[in-house]
Amino acid sequence: MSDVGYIAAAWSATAAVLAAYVVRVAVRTRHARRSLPDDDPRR
Amino acid sequence: MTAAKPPDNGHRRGVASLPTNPRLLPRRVSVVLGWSTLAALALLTLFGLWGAPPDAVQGDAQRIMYLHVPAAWLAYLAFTVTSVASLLYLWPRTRSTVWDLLAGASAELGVVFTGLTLLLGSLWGRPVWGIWWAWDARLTTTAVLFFLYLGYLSLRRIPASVETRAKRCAIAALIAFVDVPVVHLSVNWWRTLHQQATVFNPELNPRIHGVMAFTLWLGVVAFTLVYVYLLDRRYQLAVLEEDLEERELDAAIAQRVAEAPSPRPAGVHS
Amino acid sequence: MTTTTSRKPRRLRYGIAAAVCVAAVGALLVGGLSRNLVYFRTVSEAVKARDSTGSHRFRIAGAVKPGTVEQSSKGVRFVLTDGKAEAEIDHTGDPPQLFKDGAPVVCEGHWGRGLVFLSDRIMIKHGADYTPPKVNLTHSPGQTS
Repeated sequence: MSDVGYIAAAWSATAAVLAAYVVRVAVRTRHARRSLPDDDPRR
Repeated sequence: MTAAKPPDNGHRRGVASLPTNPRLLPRRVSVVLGWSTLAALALLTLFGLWGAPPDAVQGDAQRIMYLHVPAAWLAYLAFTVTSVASLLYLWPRTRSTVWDLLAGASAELGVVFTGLTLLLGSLWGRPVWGIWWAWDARLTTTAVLFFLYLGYLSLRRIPASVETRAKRCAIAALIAFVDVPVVHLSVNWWRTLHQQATVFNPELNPRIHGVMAFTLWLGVVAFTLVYVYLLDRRYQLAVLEEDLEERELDAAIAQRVAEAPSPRPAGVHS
Repeated sequence: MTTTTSRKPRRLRYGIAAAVCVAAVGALLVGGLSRNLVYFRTVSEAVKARDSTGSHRFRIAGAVKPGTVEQSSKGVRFVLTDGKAEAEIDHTGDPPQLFKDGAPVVCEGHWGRGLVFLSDRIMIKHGADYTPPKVNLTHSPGQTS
């Protein structure tokens, strides 16, 4: 693999890890919020 | 009229111990921060891949530094925040579930950044050193850091009362933090394949040229924005899930009380 | 009821996860760190301990002495120096892409006959200075320790 290959891998890996984390937190937040009763102040 | 009151569960405070506001930042600030973070990451990519010149010795492969070094510094910062929050929890005058949940949220981000550091370091090491991994002191202590806080995150998920869990996790977090300065100073203490610090070296004399130094700082700013944005998001999730868990527990206890004629639901909650 | 019934498996699962992490830390400290605190020996140290080392594996570090690199049937042969002592490296395999005259390297292998070190892995130990190719600050590229 050339230098370009390693650089591309590094940038894509960073983007993939951060994006996957953001999505995971967002999905879990939505699920938790929907499971809480309507009158919960934290909703 | 005791029927309206929740059943007596000893010292259990349940949902009442949770913060009412699940956000660290107001919603508008969080949204603006999210877009600023994306813009900073785009700018970093622009400078990291095209704006900065290739290194005299390493050539283009050195560009991975603009991600690897900020990821490592943010892991340090995340674990520092975890430690400070844990101390604030342990100190009786500032004890609050807020600090416990913040410590957990920051530690999870620290583990993400440590994992990224290891991954990016490997992708940098292969073209430059010639190998993916070396069992030298810097790399080994970084792997140790990863597993220490992964263990801390597992400890957080072991069911216990809010107070018990918070206290035991705060102590574990402070023990794990010992490794952070060890990682940073490992390159000075021991002979390693990993190079020594470029910026925070013992002489405090950054050894990096103009545009490259600027790009590195841009990386640090961008990753700091990522961290603050995600900390706010992850903290909110922690509050919501804690709320949910306490409500389910309250419901389960109430059901037990209703089913059994025993006046004290001992053993339901430890 | 779901929470109370799911608490015991959760305790077990995350208890095991925590224990595995602690075990991993222990394994890394004992297996990785304790053996490699001194990741390499300098050429002088290695030459001095030549007789007591026998044919044990270790890592030797120095700079490639300019003008000594020659192709061999198995890989490359060159002289490694730290300014005070020298050793001949007989390497099997392709050297990494940054390998060149004057490059700071770490070789893994064992002593052969006399002061010939039989290496099967070369690592480049670059410095912590970063400059564009044209700018030459006080340090010359590739010479940093």
